[in-house]
Amino acid sequence: MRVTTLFFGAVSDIVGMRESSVDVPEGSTATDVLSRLCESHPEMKRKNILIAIDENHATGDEILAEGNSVAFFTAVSGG
Amino acid sequence: MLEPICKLTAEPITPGDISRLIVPESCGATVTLDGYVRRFTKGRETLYLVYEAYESMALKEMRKLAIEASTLFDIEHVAIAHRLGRLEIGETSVVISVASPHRRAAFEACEWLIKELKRTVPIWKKEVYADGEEWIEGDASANIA
Repeated sequence: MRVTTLFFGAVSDIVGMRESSVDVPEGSTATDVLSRLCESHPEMKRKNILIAIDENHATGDEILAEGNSVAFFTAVSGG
Repeated sequence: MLEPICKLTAEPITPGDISRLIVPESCGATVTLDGYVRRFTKGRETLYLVYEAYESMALKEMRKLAIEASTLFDIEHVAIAHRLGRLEIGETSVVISVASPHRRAAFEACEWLIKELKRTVPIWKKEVYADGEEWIEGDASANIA
């Protein structure tokens, strides 16, 4: 199944893009997607990455569904 | 509680304009926070800041906070505006206005709102210094999921 991946701030700089889409096996979690990203971008491993699924903060353990938007970012720093 | 006013903008924010958006007749005080760009942080000089947001989610999170604040404090209206893009020293980055019948609840709610905004709303700040730049990471220990 296919999910959209979104990257913000420092994470966007590391992966070199803001948005992409990936094919993942049924039963995958956002943490699984993150592990794959860490393999291709080892610099990610040094960051504490937070996750949102369909615009809601997530733990990463949730099972993904077709068409989900999965966002990866570092701890927020607005204000 | 009236429907909160939440906005993200690349244009300069005038705090007084945001504050006067919320003046219900049932209220008697509006407390407004004007957060702006500081030149020195921990002794290091900032040239300018760049803010980026996950805009659709940030607007939803801002609204959620305003609604939650109304369950915690005796307030009747909230407006939150956050600037995006490049900001110079002294420019307003965030405005939070809270209207309540009596001032105390508005002060308390405004403090609660900025604390929660900095913890949960997906906006990021990049500090640009004379000798480099870095994305600032907030308090990662905060459990927000």
